Amino acid sequence: MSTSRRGFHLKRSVQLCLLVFVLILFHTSAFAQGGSGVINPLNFPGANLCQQIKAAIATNASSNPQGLVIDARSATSPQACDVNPFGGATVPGQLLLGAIVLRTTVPIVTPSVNAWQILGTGRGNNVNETGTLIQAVSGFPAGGKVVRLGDGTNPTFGNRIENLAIDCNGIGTIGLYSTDIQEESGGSNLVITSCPGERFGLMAPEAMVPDRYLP
Amino acid sequence: MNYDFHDVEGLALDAGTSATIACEFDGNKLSQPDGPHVLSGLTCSGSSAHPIGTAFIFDSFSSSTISNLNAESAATGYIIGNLAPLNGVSFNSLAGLIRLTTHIRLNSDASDEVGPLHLRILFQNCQQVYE
Repeated sequence: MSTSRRGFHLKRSVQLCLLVFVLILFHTSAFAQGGSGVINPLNFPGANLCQQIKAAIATNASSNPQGLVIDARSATSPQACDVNPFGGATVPGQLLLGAIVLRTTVPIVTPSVNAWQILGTGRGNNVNETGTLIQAVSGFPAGGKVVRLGDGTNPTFGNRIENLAIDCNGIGTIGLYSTDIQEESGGSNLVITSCPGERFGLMAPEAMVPDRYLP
Repeated sequence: MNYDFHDVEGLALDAGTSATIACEFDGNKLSQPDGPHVLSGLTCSGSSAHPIGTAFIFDSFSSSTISNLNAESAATGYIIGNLAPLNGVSFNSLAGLIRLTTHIRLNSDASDEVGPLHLRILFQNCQQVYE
């Protein structure tokens, strides 16, 4: 091979390396700006887990407009909840709950416009506290819905709840409720217990009128 | 409108009364039935000491598949069209395993003489087992 030809190959190799380097840089940059943020809510202020989740969402929403993954699986059981963790959420996302009992005095309501998935670790149990359990406790409003998918303002897409238990504890009237869920919404692998009223009340958005639901 | 529920247990336990409806799935009652919805693998029940009024109610569905359900410890297992009709809905394997007075009722009226007019509803493999 001649010297000029060897130089040509060397030059092309350097160009190729530079191109690969630039592509890697672009790829990394794109993910840093566009990926979902995975957030541990325990790093945020709050008197209980729900306050911490709410703070984590509020703090990280603007930097993760595509959505958040709130990973609360390292929280220990039991956990109290006195605010709707999704209140005021301006981005969609996914909430991961570990093997905890989340004792709530307020309904947990996901937004309609920015849908969330609530994912537990498995069938919750209020006896030996295994799995993930969302439980209404003293102070929960009589007649309240423990979990509501969508807040009743708009049709909602992709609002889901999976792999956990909801315990009305004889206090909350309805365990799981929605008037808004549409495509990709729903639930699976759930157990809903001790609710004196209906456990599901699913209506189309157009039907937000007083129905036959029990008080 | 389209939603799905799979593998769900709704257990009233001691909280249930004769007025309790365990699981109610409604569509749009104001204009026409809506769907499709997919429901499968659901158990909804009272308890032997506290039987409930109704295990399942379906209103105003269209183009949906509802399969592998189980109703227990209720006066009525399934009410199909309590207030509004269903259109094009397939029910497959609706079981009533324990303590049902009525397994499946079309419309809420006890005489079945009044109520919504359903279209194209298919029932398959439905059975009540007395215990």
